[in-house]
Amino acid sequence: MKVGIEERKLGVILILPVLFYVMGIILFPFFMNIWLSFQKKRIGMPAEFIGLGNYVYWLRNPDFFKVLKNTLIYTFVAIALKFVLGLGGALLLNRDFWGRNFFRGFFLIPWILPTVVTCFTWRWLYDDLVGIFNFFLAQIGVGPIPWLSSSSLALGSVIAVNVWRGFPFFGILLLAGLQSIPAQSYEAAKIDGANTFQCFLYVTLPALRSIAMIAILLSTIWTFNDFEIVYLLTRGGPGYDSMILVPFVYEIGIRGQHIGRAITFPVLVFPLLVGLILITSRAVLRKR
Amino acid sequence: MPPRRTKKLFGRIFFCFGLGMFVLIIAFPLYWMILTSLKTSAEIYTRTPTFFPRTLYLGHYVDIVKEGLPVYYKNSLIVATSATGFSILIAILAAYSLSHFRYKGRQALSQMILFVYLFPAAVLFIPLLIVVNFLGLTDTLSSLILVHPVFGVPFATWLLAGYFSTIPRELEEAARVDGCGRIGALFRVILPVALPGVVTAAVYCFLLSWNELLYAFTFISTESKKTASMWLSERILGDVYLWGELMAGAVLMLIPILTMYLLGQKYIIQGLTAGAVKE
Repeated sequence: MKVGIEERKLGVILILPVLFYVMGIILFPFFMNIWLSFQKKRIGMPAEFIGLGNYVYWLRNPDFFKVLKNTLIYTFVAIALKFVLGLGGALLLNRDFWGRNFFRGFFLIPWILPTVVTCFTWRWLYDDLVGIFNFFLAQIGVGPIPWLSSSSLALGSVIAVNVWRGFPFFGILLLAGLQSIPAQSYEAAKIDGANTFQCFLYVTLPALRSIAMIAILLSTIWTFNDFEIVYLLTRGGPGYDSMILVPFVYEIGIRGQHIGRAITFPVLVFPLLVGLILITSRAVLRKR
Repeated sequence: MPPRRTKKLFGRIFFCFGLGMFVLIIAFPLYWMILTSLKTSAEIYTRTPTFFPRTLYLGHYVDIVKEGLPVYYKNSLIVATSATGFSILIAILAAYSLSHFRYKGRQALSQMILFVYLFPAAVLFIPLLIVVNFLGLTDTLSSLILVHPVFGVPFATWLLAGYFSTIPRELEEAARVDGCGRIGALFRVILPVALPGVVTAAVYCFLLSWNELLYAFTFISTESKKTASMWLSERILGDVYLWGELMAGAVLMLIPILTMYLLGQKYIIQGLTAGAVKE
């Protein structure tokens, strides 16, 4: 009996550091965030309670809706493209061919690159005057296209970079899903007279459902909260045409020093975010 | 030709084409970055770009190093290794507790850690700035070391708990019969078996810290305390872009990450899919 109590104690002691850390660095700031959203606060100044003032400010501000719309477009378009590209890559890599392991490792490279490196490289590729994309277009008599400074193209251009960085993540997860499909499933379908496309539709896709769900949910959370790509490529410009949530909060809160106002924006999307996280964690736990 | 063979041939062509496209999409930006870093400025800014190196010019690397990259590089190394060491240490203990101990509330704790792992740290940077100021860590590398594990700790704990739980209790118990305590069993039995998981978690933590930009931008203002990613980023936010130097800097940023990835690649792919997909 005594051993049991000792064991319990040791178990709790071992987890305490992570628990404290998580409380101090995540949960406490989370609640502080909500508290600060009711304050008028600038850096270095005392806070002043203004009730729902910050909320009213944003809900009356067209910038809020613009940034929210951009963030949603950024998230959904990027996820859709990452999924399609990732699935394509996973299907290719699931085949048996010479050098498969090499290609698998190679495939993940965009995802492990430091984002700063990715952003530099793409900004150089996109360059108006001497960028290589505009050089290729000039060869067929088009352009030059201002990829990052045109109000209609900027958001699309940053989405492309997000897709480039993120599709390998989908690819690797979906590949793991593909590998867990037993060969008998395909054989059975073939015996029933299914062609390759039907096999894909009725065997592959349903089998991938739960892993695809997890990949999509995880990536939604991360894409929604992306900072570097937009900030380093366009800084949200021109105007706010490619601005999304986190870089916007940074601009208002840190560069503009309106802490209370800036912090209210994420609080307004918290319900959405927390809902998403709860669904995701349920999906992950079910899988496990 | 019988139809079956034609179909097979088409399949092969389609497959090679697809694979080729992926290789091109992934490799071209990288190739272009490395190539640009090795061209002279005159060659970079010509109207007709060259696709193969004419000369290997190392001047941009010399310039970026002379301008002070080593200082910032060292800062990044200090922050990333400290944050990784801290994350892995506390994550190992927590994962051991979650996977090999029985106590009340364990399930709930495990779920909370998953929840926290999913919680985007990006929305917390302003309250964390206030916390950092309160702790008197304003504008120090320590503030980054304190905050960077926020991304890695929950992931590492979650991943390692999965790994550890595949190690049978009997193995651990056998070690204890041989005279190890529970902590001894952790270090002598569990960790060696779970090495792939530990490597993956460590590389992941290092990567996140090495790449991190938002917190560095928010916390650090003194020039000599900037991290490499922050210092390089500020150069691109200015008006004049020295593409040769920037690409040289990017290549230098990439080297530690790529080295780690190549060394631990097998473990990392295994570990990532294991962490997210199944135990």
